[in-house]
Amino acid sequence: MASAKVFVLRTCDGETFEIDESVAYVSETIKNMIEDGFGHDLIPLPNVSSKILLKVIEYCRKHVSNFESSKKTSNGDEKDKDNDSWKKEKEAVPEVEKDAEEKARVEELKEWETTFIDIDQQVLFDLLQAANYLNIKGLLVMAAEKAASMIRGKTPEQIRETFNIKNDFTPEEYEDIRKKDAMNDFTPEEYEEIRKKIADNHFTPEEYEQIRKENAWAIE
Amino acid sequence: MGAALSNLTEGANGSTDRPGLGDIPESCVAHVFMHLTPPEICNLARLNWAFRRAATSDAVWEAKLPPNYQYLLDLFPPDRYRNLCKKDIFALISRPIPFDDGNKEVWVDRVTGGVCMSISAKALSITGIEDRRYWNWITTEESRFHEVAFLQQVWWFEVDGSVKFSFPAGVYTVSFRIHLGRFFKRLGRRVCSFEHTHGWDIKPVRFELSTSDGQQAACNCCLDESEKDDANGNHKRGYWIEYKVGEFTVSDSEDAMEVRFSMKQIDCTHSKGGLCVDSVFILPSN
Repeated sequence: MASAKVFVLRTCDGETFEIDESVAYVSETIKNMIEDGFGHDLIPLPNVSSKILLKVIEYCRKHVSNFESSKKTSNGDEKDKDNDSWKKEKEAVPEVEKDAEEKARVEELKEWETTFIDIDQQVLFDLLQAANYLNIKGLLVMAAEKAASMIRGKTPEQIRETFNIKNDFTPEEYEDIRKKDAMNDFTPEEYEEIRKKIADNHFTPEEYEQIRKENAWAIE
Repeated sequence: MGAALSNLTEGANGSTDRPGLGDIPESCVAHVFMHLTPPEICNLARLNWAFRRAATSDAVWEAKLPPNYQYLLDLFPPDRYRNLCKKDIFALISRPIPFDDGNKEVWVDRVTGGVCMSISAKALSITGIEDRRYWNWITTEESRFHEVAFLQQVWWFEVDGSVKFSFPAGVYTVSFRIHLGRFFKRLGRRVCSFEHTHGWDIKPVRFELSTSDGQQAACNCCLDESEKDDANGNHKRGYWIEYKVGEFTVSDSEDAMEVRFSMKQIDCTHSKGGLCVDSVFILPSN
């Protein structure tokens, strides 16, 4: 039979990456694209940069090789070879016979994961979004868990500081924007941009109070 | 382009124009929320719009609800929960829900999502409860049911109870909430009287539980310290103490499980008294 199939992915910054079929299939999104017939040429990934795709491919390759070695130490099934098996393997109780080998494999995986996800916040959030877009469940869970650990225990104010989220306009800035809005001093694109940013990030004091009230039940 | 505009087009995190935590889409925030507790999620709802929307997403809250939450909702009239989103359902069942004539309460723990239950002394079978020489009811704010049973003196001390309920799968601990001595407010301060407290250091009380599927647990415990320890202060008197009876396991939350529990001291060679019985707790073992 022909050797394992290879697919070519192209990132938003124009770089291309060749990967095996088994590695490609770790991403549900890519798997669907291939099954829909888009695998013959380049598979474009306009939402993913090369830096992040490298990280994603590293994960996918580890996932595939980990699955292969887990098949040797447990009675893994072909039909388990999906993203859920990543989680199942972590929860599974090793069978008595290949217990030691299986334990070692799980230990090694945990260590690899800890190192893999030890990345700066910028890369983490990019990776989180890429895993979401590419629909790679295990990676999504790992990145989400890490992001949660970074924000756990912090107030919204502390989070804004730590992650440099500036979404509070001074009253003067906001007034300025309102005036320009009233005078129609923006191009349509500028206007759209501002509208979106205002809508997405800024709460009026009334809205803020409303949100606080809605959520007080869990905090008090 | 005005000055204000250029600030905005720099991106929501100011100096860098690469997307950061403030720009990740709602669906990603929802995934992060799967790993945070409900109080943490609600605390972050006011961070920005993506966080706010994610904090109300059904997918996030469905994962927080106990698997058989509909069973808890059935304790309410259907109108009460008909149009609620999953978050509001969680809020609803995280407050104590009375059932069995208000003598039992069940609720979902806000942090862990575990199902918890408290059973009032009023729902327990207390031997001799109708005889005012032995037992009296005391109204108090120190009980969530506002009433506790006070034992003055008895020879046959026996308190039994049971509950039939569909708990989500897991391991649960049963305990009795007891107070040695009587308590009241005097001049705004809490004061205890141990005038009737006696007999608990002579022989232990036996705590037992059993389930409809054959599980059992028991333990023996002296509720009081003997006289000679008084020099160091008696740590068992004057406080509400939860005496653990034991644990039981639920494997299948589909079937209702009946749990029976009791505490007894029926050695009639000595009397015992001066004790308040508040309630029984059934809580997920942590």
